[in-house]
Amino acid sequence: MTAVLSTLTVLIVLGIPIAVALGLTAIAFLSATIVPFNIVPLMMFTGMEHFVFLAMPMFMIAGELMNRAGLAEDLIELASSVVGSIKGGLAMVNIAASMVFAEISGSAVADVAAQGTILIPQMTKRGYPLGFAAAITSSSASIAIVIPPSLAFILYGAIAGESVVRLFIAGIVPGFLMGGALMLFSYGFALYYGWPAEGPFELSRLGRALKRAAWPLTLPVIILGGILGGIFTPTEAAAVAVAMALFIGMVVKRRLKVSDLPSIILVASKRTSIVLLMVATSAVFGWYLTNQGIPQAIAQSVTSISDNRYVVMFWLNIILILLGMILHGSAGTVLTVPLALPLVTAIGYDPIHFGVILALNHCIGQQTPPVASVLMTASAVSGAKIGEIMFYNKWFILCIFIVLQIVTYVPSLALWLPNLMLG
Amino acid sequence: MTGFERGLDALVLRIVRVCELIAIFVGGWLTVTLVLGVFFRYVVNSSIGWLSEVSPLMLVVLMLAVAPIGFHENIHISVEVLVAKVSRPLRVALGLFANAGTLVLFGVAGWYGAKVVGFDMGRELDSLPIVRAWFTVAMPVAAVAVWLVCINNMLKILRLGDLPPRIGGLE
Repeated sequence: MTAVLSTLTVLIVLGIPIAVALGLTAIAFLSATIVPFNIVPLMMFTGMEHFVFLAMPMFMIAGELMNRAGLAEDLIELASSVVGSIKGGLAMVNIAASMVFAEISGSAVADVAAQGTILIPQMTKRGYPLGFAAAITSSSASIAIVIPPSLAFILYGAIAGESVVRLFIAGIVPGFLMGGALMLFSYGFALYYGWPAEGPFELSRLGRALKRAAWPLTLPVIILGGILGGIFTPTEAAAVAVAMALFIGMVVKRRLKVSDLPSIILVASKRTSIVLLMVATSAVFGWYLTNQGIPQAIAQSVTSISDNRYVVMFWLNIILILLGMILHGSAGTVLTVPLALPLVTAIGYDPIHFGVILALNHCIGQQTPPVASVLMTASAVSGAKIGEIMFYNKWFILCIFIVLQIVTYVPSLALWLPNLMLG
Repeated sequence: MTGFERGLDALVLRIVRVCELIAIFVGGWLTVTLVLGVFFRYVVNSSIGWLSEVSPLMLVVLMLAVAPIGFHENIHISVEVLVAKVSRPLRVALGLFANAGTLVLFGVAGWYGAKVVGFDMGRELDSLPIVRAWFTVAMPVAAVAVWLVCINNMLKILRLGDLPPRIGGLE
């Protein structure tokens, strides 16, 4: 067990792509067994043959289509008309818009890229420090990892063999809790620094904003309503999202051309495929681990140190946060799920609950350098230095950490809604 | 740059372009068929039976078509904390090691993948009279493409005396 994990760690630290490191470790240790190497291509193929994986490129295409169609502006105006009247109005707008955008794109990076270009310049013009504007854009974008349709849940669901629909529903309460907590922290900042509200609440402005955002808002209604209402599977909902985004971008907004489509499809295909190659090689690695009983051995050794589920989960969260600092979210899922899931279920945690905990860990991981794709995108979009952003972002990281602790130790926050809706 | 290196570089660029075209075609095909699948299921009330079997296989083909592009553009997810901090000669060594590791993985996947294709020649899909080998053949083909890309990468690293910059930057 130690040799396998050490080999994998050394290969990853030496800079070998994670997909390759997983495959190489499996090959190295398979060579010491009588199992033929045919298992490598076979498992790479079968590990990928899940219909739900098709939702990933579809949601990515839908997100990219909506970015290019400029739908973020409409959603920001709607958020502004709802929460702009609170002190620190633009920070609230940023968080609220992220929560709506998250229900469409499923990707935190897409969220930060779409909103950052519009909101960060507006915030700095109103006197917010650049570092703060980038920090709140980055942290609030991470909500997309928890609120459905989250790509992280699709990946986790397929690897862990859990229902993606149940995971989507389980993410709703923690996602809103995270949004609320970020708003509370921003309100504290606004009080401390004396940042103003955007103006009084006006019903007529809300009406105008709702009318403008009517088309983009049909997407979360169709996606979430369809999935949660049991009408569509996640993959079908993603396909409908693509069709709707195409219609809105080409017919309603007229900002998309047919000639834009190949580059959009190529970008989405690349993003999906680099994640899926990791999934494919992790299937070989996971097969080897299971065959050797390694996850069970890990679970046994950990529970022999402490069988207190809360102590184990506390340390597991710390390990996941540390891993999140050096790994991308998808890589973290692919690496940790086969190893940690048997342990988590052995101490009595629900796999759906663990999926939400893992997603919240990814939210923190996306904000903690050196590997923090959302933070880096916010830095690139805003032009703020990482240190400048981290001056404020450390408070938002603390905020997400508190939400993580609450969700970890109060399972009903994640499990109540799926149990209520699906039984 | 020797004639061999120039020729290999040109060949790799063509391979990457072909892979991009395959990715666009397969990505587009998946989008269209999935949307049609929803239309047929909910509007016409008649499901496309082969969709749930063929689409995941096409997704694997898509992943394998993008694999060489990923290694060419250096966009596969890796931890670069150590690589960025070490001296140039060590960085070169690590770059060569990473590409050599990729050659080993895709060597095994390609060689044994070809054997699986032989086996799959006799296995038809459940929903269509097509042999599975039409899809699994993507593994050895992609492995050859990845091999050429990685050899080209290694020659580039030796020529530059450093790691080439990331082209795509999909993060």
